[in-house]
Amino acid sequence: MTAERPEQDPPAADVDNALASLRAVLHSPLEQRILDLEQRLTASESRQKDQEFQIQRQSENLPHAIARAHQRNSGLSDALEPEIAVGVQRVFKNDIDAMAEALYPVLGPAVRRMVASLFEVNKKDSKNPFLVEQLFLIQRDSSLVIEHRIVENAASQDADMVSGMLDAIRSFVADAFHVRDFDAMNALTIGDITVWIEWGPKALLAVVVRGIAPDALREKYTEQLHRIHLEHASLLDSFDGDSAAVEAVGPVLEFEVSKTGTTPKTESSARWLWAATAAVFLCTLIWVADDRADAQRWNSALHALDSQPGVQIVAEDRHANPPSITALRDPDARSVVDLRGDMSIDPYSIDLRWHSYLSDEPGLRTNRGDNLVTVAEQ
Amino acid sequence: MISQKICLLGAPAVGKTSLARRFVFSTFSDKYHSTIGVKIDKKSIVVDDMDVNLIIWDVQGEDRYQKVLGAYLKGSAACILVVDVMRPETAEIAMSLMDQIVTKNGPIPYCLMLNKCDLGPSTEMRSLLSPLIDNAVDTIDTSAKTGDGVDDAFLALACALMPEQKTG
Repeated sequence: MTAERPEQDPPAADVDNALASLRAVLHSPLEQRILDLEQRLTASESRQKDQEFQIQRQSENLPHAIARAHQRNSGLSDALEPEIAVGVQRVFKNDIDAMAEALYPVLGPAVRRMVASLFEVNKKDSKNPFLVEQLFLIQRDSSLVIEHRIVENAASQDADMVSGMLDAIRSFVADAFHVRDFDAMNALTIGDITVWIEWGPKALLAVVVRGIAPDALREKYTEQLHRIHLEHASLLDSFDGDSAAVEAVGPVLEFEVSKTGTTPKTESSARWLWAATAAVFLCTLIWVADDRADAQRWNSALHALDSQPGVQIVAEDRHANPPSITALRDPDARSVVDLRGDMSIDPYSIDLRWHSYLSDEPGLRTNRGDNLVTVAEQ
Repeated sequence: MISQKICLLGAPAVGKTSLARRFVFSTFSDKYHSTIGVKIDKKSIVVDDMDVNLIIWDVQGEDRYQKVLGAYLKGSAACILVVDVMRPETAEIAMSLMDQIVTKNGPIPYCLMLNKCDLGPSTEMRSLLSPLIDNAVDTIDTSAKTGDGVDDAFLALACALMPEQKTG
């Protein structure tokens, strides 16, 4: 019978080694993993910094690159067109008012011109006497008068009150007829007084006319309102009722109120334009007729020359300076002096060049044979 | 010269038109009230050596014009709310109108006119209107009949509309 020996603890150093080995086994993949992750993180950060740097550089170079692409006509605009179209469509969809306001000064006149070209302008008799008595330029939101013009001795209420009542009437009519976003009370007519009201996004122009004014006149005031929006946008935006702001920029309204029967300058300009166009057309007509007659004379001369025995035209240029004719001439043909004299146009205004040749025409061939016989006999 | 649009608002029969007539020389007929619900008057005053045109929109208080009220309020630089000290119910209408003003036009300076003060004290009305009084430019007892306080109320509002007051 053997007695069991109690187990002895291993030495401490062995335990440490064993634990270190175990730790190494357990931790090594983890440490490697952490190391990998750190490297990836560093690489990612580096890439991000590099990307930002690239973006920074590209943003600096982009304008130059676009300008260069435009110069080289490299098709960049074609490539961008779909994206730009989508972007513009999105802006139109999301903020149509802002786009309309931005485009108003540009598109307004163009649309009006297009409509005017589609439909014949109502030609009321512009000889009828009329009087543009008053002009009101009114801020749209507050109905405050920005500028007012009135003919001398015309009877009228205070401009601010008239402006306010116009706005009140507009609001009332809009409410009475349940019109949403109403801004198109374009005219009021009472007796022989007509008030034209032209609407812009920030201001409206009311034109008080006594009598029957031509529609073309109204068009001029409409265009004036467009120009005011274009040239005085900041004034219309910031106007708070202080007349000093208007005085600072000078008169905003271009057209004065007119006297009876006068027509705007632009109509006079239109007449001049018509006259100039007619003159140009007449000159063109005369030139065409003259050119046609000249061509007939030239062709007639060529035909006369070409039909002479022993003469053959090989080149001609009527439009050269001077006109030129190059021809072959048989020595037995008519003399050069005679040929020049037979031409229906001035032969000395032409660069006429002759070259010798032997014609195969029977008459000349016979003459040539006879001459040779004569010479031989002699 | 500065021009400013001011709306004169309040319940029916609180005396708005009479107050306006006290303050201005009306040129337009009162018949516009019964047709389109508003009448426009103008008064030129001098504030701090500056000419100020007050364009006063006297808006009819009848219910049928309430739908147009928003349009009439548009672009107002300030407003005057009028109540009848003898009719407490007009205070509630004034507060309702103030709500509409803020909703449709944003917060603007306003003055309270406690009208018909010649008929009785305004103590109870001041108590009812205390939420509005706190933010008002001024609250003044007025009488269109005697003219008491009318000019003071318009002047107080005009002062509040001066450029340095608005920026300050």
